[in-house]
Amino acid sequence: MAFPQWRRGCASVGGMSTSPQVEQLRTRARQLRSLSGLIGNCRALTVYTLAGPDTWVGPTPRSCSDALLAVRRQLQANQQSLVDLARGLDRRADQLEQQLPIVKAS
Amino acid sequence: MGLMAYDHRRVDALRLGLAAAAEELRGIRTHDPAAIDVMRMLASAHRTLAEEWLPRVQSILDSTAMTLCVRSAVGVADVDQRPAFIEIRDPGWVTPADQHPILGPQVPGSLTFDEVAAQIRTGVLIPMAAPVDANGRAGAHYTSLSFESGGQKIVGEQDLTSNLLKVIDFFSDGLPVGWREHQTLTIYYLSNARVISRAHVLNAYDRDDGPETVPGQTKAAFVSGYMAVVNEASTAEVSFAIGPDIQDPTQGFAISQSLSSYSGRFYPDSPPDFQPVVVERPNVGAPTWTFTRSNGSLVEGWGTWGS
Repeated sequence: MAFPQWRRGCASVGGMSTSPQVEQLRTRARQLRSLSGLIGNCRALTVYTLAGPDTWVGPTPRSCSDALLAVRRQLQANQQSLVDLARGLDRRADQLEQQLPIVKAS
Repeated sequence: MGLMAYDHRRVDALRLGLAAAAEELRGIRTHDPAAIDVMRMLASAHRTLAEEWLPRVQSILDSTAMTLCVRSAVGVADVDQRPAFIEIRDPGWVTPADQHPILGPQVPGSLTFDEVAAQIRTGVLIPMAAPVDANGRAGAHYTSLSFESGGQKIVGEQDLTSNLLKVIDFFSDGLPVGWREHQTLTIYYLSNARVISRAHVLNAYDRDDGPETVPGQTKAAFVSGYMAVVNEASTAEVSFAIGPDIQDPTQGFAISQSLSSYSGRFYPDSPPDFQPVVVERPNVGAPTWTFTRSNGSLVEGWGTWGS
C-alpha cells in the first residue's frame, strides 16, 4: 500500500528522522515475531512427548519428564513475551507515524 | 534407589529428539536488545537439554547394568524385580536399577525433603547471596529478589506449628475469642527459574504497589535449585452471641482478621550468573516469591529473606 506523500516525509523527531525510525521499529517488531515463530516451532516444545511412560518409567524418567515440561512452559512464556514486545514496538511506530502530519504541518 | 524400565528403541528416539532440539535452540539467534532476556532463557533451556539430559540418556543407553548385574540385598529394588515389570510392560523392556551414579550424573532435584533439610542444616547446600539490606536507613539502597517459577515441583512439606499453638487453635473453637496460627515449611525444586534482582530506595511507598525500582540496576539470571519457604498464617477471631441467654453458639456472628507472610531462602545448584536487564519483559506474570531483608513483610506479597 502506498502512503500519501506527507506520510513518507522525513520529519525530525528527537534528532532522528521519523520514517527511518518508524521503519526500524517495524523491522524489529517483525524480527521479534519471527523469533517467536521460531521458538513456537522448535522441537524443544514437543520433545517431552518422547519421554513419557511409553518410553521409560522410574525416578530418573520422571525427573526428565518434569524438566522437559518446565522447558516447554518457559519457552511458551518467552514466545508470548516476544509477541508482546513486538506489539509494543508496533504501537510506538504507530504513535510516531501519527505525529508526522503534525510535524509536517508546523 | 528405585527401579527403571525402558524401551531401548524409544529411549534412543528420545536421545535423537533431545539432540535435535538442543541443536535447534543453539541455532536461534537475535541481536535485538529487547530479546536479550529471551536469549538467556534459550541458553538455559539448551543447557538443560544438551548438558544435563542428553548425557544422562546416553549413559542409560550405554549402561551395562543388564549384562554386569550384581544382586542387591533382599528388599532393595533391583533387577530381581524385573518379572514384575515384565507383567505390565512389553517383554522387550530393559529394567536396570535406577541408581543415578550408574546412570549418568546426579539428577537435579532428586533429593528428598529430609535430605534437603539435613544438607541445609549441615551447610552442604549453600544459600544464594542475600539481598542487600538498607538496615533501616531512609534513602539507602536495598535490593529485592523475585523468583518467577516456570518449572517448580514440591519436594515436601512439614508442619512447624508448635504444640502450644495447636492447643490454642483447638480451644479457640469453643471460646468467644480465638487465635489460630500455622507455620508450614515447604521445599520446592525450581528448574531454570528466572530470578530478578531489583534495587530500591528505602522511603515511603504504597503497600500494594511496593517500592519503585531504581532504573538501570535490574539484573536477572536463570537458576535451578531448592527453595525453602516458611509460610505463616494467623487468624484472630472474636465471636458475639446475639440476644440474651442464647444457648446455641451458632446463633451469633464472628469477626476475624487474617494475616499471612512468608520467609525463605534459595539454594542454587550452581552460583547464579546475574546479567543486566536491558528491557523488562512484559506480560510474564507476577513472581511467585519476592524476598527482601529490608521490608519484605511490609509490602503486599513480599517475603523476608532468611530464617
